[in-house]
Amino acid sequence: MKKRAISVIVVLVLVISAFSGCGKGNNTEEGNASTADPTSAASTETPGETKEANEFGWVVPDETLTITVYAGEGDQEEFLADVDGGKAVYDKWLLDTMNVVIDWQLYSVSMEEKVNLMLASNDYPEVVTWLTDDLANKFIAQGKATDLTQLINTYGDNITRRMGGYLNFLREDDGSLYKLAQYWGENPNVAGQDFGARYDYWLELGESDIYKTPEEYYDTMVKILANHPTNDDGLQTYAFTSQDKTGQNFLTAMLGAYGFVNGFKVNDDGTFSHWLNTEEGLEIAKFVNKCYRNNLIEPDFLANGYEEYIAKQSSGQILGNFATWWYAWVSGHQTWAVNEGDAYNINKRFMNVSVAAEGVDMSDTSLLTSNFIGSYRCVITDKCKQPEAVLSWINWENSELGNFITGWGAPSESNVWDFAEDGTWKVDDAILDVDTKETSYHQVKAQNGAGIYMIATNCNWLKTDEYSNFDKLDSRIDRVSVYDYWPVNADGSFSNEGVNICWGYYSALPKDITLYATTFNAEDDITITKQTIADQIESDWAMMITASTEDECVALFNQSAEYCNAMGLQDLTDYYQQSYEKNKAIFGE
Amino acid sequence: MKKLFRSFVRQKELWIISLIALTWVFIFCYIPMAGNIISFFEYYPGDSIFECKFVGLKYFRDLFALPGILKVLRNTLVISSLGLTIGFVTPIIFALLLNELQNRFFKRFIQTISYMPYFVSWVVVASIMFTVLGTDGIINGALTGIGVIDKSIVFLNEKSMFWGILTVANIWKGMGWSAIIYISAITGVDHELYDAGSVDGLGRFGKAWHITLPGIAPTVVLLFILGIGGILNAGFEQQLLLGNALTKDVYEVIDTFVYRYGIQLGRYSFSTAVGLMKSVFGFALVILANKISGKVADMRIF
Amino acid sequence: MMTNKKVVKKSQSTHSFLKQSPGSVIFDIVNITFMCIFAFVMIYPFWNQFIISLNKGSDTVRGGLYFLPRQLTIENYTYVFKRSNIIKGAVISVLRVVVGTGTSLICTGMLAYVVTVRQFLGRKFMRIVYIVTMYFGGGLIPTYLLYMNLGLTETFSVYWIPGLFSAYSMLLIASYMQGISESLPESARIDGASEIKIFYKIMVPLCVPVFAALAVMTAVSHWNSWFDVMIYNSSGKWDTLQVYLRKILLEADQAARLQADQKKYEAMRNLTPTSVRAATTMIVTLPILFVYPFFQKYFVGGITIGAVKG
Repeated sequence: MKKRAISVIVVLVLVISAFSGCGKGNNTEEGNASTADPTSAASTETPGETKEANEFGWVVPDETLTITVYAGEGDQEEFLADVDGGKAVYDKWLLDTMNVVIDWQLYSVSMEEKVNLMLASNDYPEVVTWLTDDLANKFIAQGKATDLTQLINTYGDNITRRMGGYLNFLREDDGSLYKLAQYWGENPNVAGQDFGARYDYWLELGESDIYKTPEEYYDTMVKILANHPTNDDGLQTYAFTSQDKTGQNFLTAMLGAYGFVNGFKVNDDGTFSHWLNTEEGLEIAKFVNKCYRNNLIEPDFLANGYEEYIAKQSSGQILGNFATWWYAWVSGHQTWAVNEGDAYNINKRFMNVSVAAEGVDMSDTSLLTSNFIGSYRCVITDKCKQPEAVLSWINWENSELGNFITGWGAPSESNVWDFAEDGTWKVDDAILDVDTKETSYHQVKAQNGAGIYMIATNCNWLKTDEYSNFDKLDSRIDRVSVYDYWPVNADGSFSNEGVNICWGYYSALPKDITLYATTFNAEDDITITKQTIADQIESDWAMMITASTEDECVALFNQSAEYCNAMGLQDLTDYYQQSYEKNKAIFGE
Repeated sequence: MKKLFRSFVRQKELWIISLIALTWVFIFCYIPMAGNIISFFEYYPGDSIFECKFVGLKYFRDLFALPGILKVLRNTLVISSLGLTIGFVTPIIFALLLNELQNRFFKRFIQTISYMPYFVSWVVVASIMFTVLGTDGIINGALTGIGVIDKSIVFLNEKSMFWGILTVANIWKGMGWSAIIYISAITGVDHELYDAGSVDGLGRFGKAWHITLPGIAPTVVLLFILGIGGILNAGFEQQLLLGNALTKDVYEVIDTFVYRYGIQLGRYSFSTAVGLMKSVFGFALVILANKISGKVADMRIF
Repeated sequence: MMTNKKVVKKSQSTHSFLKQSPGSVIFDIVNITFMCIFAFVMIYPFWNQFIISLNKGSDTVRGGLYFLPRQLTIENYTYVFKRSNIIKGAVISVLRVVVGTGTSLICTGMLAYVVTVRQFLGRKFMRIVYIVTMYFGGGLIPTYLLYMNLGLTETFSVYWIPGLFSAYSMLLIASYMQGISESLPESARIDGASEIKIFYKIMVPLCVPVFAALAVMTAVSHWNSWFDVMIYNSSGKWDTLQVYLRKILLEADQAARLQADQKKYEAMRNLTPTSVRAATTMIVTLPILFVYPFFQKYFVGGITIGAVKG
């Protein structure tokens, strides 16, 4: 009995020590020992006064500035192994030219898990980036993020200039600022939700115009299937399939064609309606059900994962792509060109096509959406000894030149770009050669460490507008982002014939949906409501589209709407609407 | 007390070993176990437990307030029960059949083969099942070939078949592995008993039934009782891979459910609370099963 | 009461081919046929991975590989060996298996012995204390904090110290020991043998089959574990072989979690090709597969406990 009593006491003592918040003895482990002493902070604290910025716009600190960054999920060993050699090149440039060392930490476990362990053990580096908004808020709520409210005004001029009013979305309710956006800016994709088809098969039909509505798309796919009832292996062909075991890709694409955002339509009076409560929603369900009943959708579509999807498209069993654009890109010409070598015919590829629902203008669709502040956040933690210097670095990263260097690597003769004599940023002539671009361009970039250290980077199109001034960019190229550029001809078409086929029919433009961003806090009831409704819709949607008759589909749709409304769909709709109105007010300030 | 003291003196070696084992178990199992206390607090990693709001049994109530929880419990119990019956018996039958193989090389070969699927990830097993069960797969081919059906069936979309498919998949992957312990137990059966059995005129089946099976009964009972404690663990990865939106009604189990409502939503306390509930329930069942087994078969694990 | 030096003697199978009834022969034929079909079904997933690992990666994307590779190549293997420090991982894995399995079997075996000694007063208490741990876990964060405070993180020790005793193994060994007559250890005890001596001189030789089975199971679980490696030794200094495979398998999950479309595209495009994944699976799995055949001799041959019945 005594033993039991003692054990209870022991356990209690240990619980208390384990959960009293801060793990003990971690202050000795600050992540990096080589961080400069506070005196060096003084030199970077006063940019412009005592020291001039170098040719790259960075005030080189007297003592090396070391920044430790936890940057999410990844294979640290592979990163350090530096197979392409780009890390070594870029690290050397950073140290020699900028006197900066970036200690980049990746872990294979999920970021959520790792952040939990870091918070619980009070052991985290100076900067944490690639956080979801929710995780960033945990740092803030526990007082473990540095207050940037004042610092941003002194050291963050590029960030404030290039974010404009969007910066307000990152602020707390009281206007203070603790987090930065990572991977932000206008969506640099050319295509989004796609109603794609095999280009070579479409050519055979001899149609003069590309399809413009889902119905026309349907008709085209029926004709293509009639011409190609089986693939090379003798398997029956289908127009579409799915990859996430839910068939949600059809819904997402169709909602885009109708201009819904997050599943909601904004009515003329400014109120929101969930798609289950709209006529359009019913039309969408009926349309996808029609595709299923008439064998356009592969019967096994719910069993596929990503790999099965790609395999079925590249083996010629699936002839369209009713989903996000890049599935068709990866499974299409990227696979065929490699496998077929010289025999590859450039027309054998999927084209990405945007369509608008009947009666909807293309400019009102939401096929290609853009959230300016992105989904990711960066915090400078309370472990950071020189938040001013670190913020200055992030600010440099967001200068025009810093942005370009971060995404493309430092200028040099061996990189894909260099400074021209007139000071413009000239890309390598050989790289403009579209035939070699797919291979050599990415390789050269990787060998120069392009894009390996993005702490809180703008990933917008690098262009000149009200926020940014990229007038020094090589005038021969167009559509530049931190990842890629696409040379464009005088008539506006892409120089690369294949790219031109893929994207030539994609006319939807990015729709800014930043104002629709809605936060859900883990412990709120509305979060549970959101999850239960999402779960319900997931099953209901699959049942609706696989219904054996249209009447059954309609009945299932109505039943689902009724059920979800009873579960609080209206509350959820109101929540989204209020959030939108609040965002509008924030942005308008 | 006196008895205890005398035992300390007389059996000091046993006590020393016990003491080491006790120290270890307290440090490595019981201290972390105390972390379950956050089931009763609104806690997030990094928070101080003293500043956390005490919420009592809120998270337990939350779980049972979720729509669909009854279906989830049903699925969990059904899938586990299939595992505890069919899934439990097959490795035993397999071990017995293996024991009847005369050729030693063949026996060892089969034995080694049988545990190979255990090393292949669920993703691979699932993708093979998609191929086999797909509309162009061999099962549909065979069924249409012999005229049982005239149109291919999408097996994985059928709610009525899901539990069966899942159980088969689980057996496929785990049977050889589970059989290892039975095979070793069969080895431990005294061979003199078989000789005696031959004298008594027992055939092969008779020996298996009257000698081998009783010989491994303690192991069987032990593993069954332990298995009962895991009745609320009905799998996770295989459900997510083999299930889809149409079969969600029958595949969703507590672990997949809590994954979405707990971990994915960042509700740490909720996840812990559900885990604790599962533990309490499982342990209570073990105690009960142990009692019953003690009464009925005179076999107890503690 | 007698003690026989040679308590363990190997015995050949007691079934003889000579005196088989027709029913028995039919049974044999059915059984062997069944086992052959069974062997095919069981080996198939592995075979499938094997041929995929030998197929050209860019061709594997198209799917449809069932029995033989379409474009035979060993480039996937050379890629894996060039890319990762497989040898170092293998050494650590082997070390972990040997140390982890050895220490665990010794410690758990002793514990199992203790809880089977009928006169021992603490035996039920010990059993319950351990059985509880099978059902009540600690959760990741408390465990992490504990290991950190004990200084186990970023050390090799974290692979074997937390696994020294296992309730599951304890119960299985104990159940096996209970099947052995009490008379043998009891007579040794009367002769004045110490408990430790009884354990390893008398009990261990008698329990070889169960120790062999648990050695296989423990070794495999040590070989296969990856989560503890990633969590407690996250720096990568002590990465085991299995971790290389897991990192590759986790890539797809990580990519699926990404929210930005462009990022997701890049991640999906850069996923390790299926063929390389299969090659890694082969490299990581093949060594451990031979653990079973190695220990098999301890339970295929059969053991007769002759003297115990005395």
